[in-house]
Amino acid sequence: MARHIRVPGIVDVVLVSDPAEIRALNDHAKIDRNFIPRGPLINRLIVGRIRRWFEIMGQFLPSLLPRGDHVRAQRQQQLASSLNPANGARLWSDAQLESLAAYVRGGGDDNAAAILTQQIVGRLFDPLYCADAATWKAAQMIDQFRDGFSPVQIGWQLTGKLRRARNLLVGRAKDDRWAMHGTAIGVHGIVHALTRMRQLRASPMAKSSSDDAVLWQCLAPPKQVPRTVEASLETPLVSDPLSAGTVIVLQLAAAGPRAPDAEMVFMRGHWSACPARAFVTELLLAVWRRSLQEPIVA
Amino acid sequence: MRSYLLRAGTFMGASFFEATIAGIYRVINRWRVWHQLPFPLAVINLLALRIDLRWRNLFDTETAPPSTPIPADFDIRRCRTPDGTFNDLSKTWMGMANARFGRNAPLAQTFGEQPPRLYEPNPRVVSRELLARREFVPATSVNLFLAAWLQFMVHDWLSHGVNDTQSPPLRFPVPEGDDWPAREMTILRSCPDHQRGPADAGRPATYRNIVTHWWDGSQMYGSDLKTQHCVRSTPPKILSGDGKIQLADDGNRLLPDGKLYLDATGHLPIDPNASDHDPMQELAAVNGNWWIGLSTMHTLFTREHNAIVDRLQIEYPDKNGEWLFQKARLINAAMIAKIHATEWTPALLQTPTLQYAMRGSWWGALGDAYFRAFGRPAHNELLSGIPSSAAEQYAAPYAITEEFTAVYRLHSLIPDDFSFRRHCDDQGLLACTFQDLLAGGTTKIQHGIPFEDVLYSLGTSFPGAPVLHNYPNHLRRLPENIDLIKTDLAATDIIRDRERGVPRYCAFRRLLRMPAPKTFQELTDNKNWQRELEKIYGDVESVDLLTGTLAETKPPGFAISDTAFRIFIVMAGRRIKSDRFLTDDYTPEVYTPVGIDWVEQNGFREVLLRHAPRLGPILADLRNTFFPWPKLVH
Repeated sequence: MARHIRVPGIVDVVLVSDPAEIRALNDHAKIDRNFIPRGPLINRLIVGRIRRWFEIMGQFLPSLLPRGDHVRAQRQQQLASSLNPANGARLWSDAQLESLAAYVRGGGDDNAAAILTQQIVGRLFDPLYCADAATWKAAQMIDQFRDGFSPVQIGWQLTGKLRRARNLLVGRAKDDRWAMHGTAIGVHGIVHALTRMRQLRASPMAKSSSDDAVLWQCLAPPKQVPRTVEASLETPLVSDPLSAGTVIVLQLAAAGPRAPDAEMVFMRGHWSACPARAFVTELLLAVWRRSLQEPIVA
Repeated sequence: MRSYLLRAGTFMGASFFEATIAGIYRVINRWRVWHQLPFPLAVINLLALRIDLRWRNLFDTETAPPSTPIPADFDIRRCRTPDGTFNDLSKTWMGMANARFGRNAPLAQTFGEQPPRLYEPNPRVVSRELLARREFVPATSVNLFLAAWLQFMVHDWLSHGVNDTQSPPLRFPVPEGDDWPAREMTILRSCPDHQRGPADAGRPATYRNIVTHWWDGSQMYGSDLKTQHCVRSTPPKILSGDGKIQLADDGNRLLPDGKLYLDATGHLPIDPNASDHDPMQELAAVNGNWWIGLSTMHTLFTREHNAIVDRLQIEYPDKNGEWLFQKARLINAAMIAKIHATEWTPALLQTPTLQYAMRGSWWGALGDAYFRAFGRPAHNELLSGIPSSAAEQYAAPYAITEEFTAVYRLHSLIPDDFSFRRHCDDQGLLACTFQDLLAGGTTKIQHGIPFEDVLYSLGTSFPGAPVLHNYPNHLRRLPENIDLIKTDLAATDIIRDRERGVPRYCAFRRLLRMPAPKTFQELTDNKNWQRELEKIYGDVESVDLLTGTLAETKPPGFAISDTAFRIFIVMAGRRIKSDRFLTDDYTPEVYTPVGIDWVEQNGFREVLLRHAPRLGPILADLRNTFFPWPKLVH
């Protein structure tokens, strides 16, 4: 059962880590992504943080838009089509593929592979997108900030490091919210998968793993994603009734080992599905197959 | 408010207390393994391990569980359904026959191996060079009932069913110089899950357990109504006094008094569906892989069922046969669970810590003496044992797991040679090989040798030790089966784990948060085995789970490896803790007061003496009936 942390006036958050419960709550009609300051203190802090750091010119990044947002829905559909290699689009070059395959075989270093991946993702939105060490470092900072609270992160905010990182990425994305999401947030799933793929490639079972086995041993869901309760509701999944403003944290990473599939990693089949699923899985499989063509680097 | 704070501090559903204990011991175990700690700390360590495993190593594989219609005219609240449905009243399909096996490994790590690794190293080479018995290595601290009981239990919990005859079989070459009768070994694939749906796309293969997952005696009572009625009925073919098969009268053959059918000599009847190839096969709900040990267990507990019916009939003369059957089944199954927890497992794992912990799982930390004096004072698993507590499923709905199946591959317990001797003077009656005792061969023994002598012979014989080079050679060359395929069961055991995606030894240990050996020297203290393993595997990461657990240096007093034991810790308790009839409904209201008394007052010794009273002097001073019995020599 989902865990409800509620101290009146202080916090009202539900943590969900079971795949079936995530599925049910994510699709519940009264649960959405409306990040309006309301409810107890910590809820307001969470929403305030999202509003401050994850919007561009007053508009949220796409993964924080409500389900009824027409622009989001339209763009999601359009991207799902344009980012699908099966539709004939050339989404990466052969040289890029070879570089990533070489990394998986044990060559190169983590940063170079990550920067290249960020560039591939950026160019899905802007053919001139240019990733470098600074943009990758900025994306790492945004990723760490997104997933937790810590004194270091407060330091980043106070010293302006976080704002500079964000501004750098927004500038490179040319204010495109989808490009910003891809190069600052989405890219980490691919980079982590490549790192795991490198470990898998070095193991004795590398040549005997099926495509599915490779994908789901390498891909992992994002740590967590937030949702908001829009009207009072009772659900058998949470012991107490929920009220408007309750923040629901879908702990996808915790659910991942129980459901290694596109549903948890990409929210496939749900309104909030990631439109880059086909791109990510095909890129990873292409890298994997290419990496098998040559032996690993000793 | 208190509950909010307690829940807030939890990890994956564990309570604050549980998470704290588990966390503390995770740190301690980085330096010291549980069995190296002083007794009280080791006991708490076992508790911590179980908590940790319950929340982190149980994974559900069901994506679209079936709907289960309520059976008509059946008291689902107070009786076990034949197919295991309605044990859990919220997820009524849980643990039913044909539900999927669960996993102890995160699902992404359970993709089956593909060629070439599937065949590397060659399973036949592993069988021949590492597993084959060179000379019998006995486990001298226990008797052969340990092996018979284990198989009796395994048939209750799990079966993958008939292998796949439709898909191309697994094939690999037999090495030069091998005496196998063909140049290629053929092994049928495991029966695939035919009910996979869209939600399973991209996920690892799943397999279904064709018997109920519960500890419900389904090996005796069946996992469907038809089989249940079959063992409750006079069979169409019966064995007459002269040993010939006759036809029984037609008509309604269901026994009216709730008993299971035994022939006039108190033995199991002949299976009416026995093949012409083996017409003497005995009838039981699960009678595959039949041998004398299994036959004896079935005979003993079928007799026990009937004894329970007799007792209930005295107490409740107005109850009908159906009621008597259902109550006797509940009682018999619970007693079997208790014997396993409090007698069989402590015999297998002979350390003071385990003796206490396993008996504690049934009676709690207060122990059986306290229980006998005061009953179960608290509805608390720790204090009064699991049967006093509420059912709980932890991180996943209850299911037997593939990893559990894998660590229960203990064929090494079976000897190749047997001797049957008289209980009164230990005089030899018959010496034979395992092959003589298979399937219908068992019937000849049961009808030719008095039951007491069969029991005595098993009780005074040693099983094999589960170590390398002790796999029974008869099982490595089984005769052609119904698919006309000769079987090397040792090679099959190796390839099954690979096929079903059970991680290999090192990966398996890591997923249980145990240190994985980096060298063969770290895996085992036996220098010869280190060399042999290295020669076959080359890399310690490639060692199969079965070979690794057989080779592993075991904790003192253990007959099995610490690696296998970790799966035992979580699954042994779970079989009881998940079952409504062994927790919430383990009450006099459901079992009857006589039934609860029967379970609590009886053990394996009492069962043996009830059905073979002449064994009294032999069992008189035995602390545990799974220990070797003394030989009475006059």
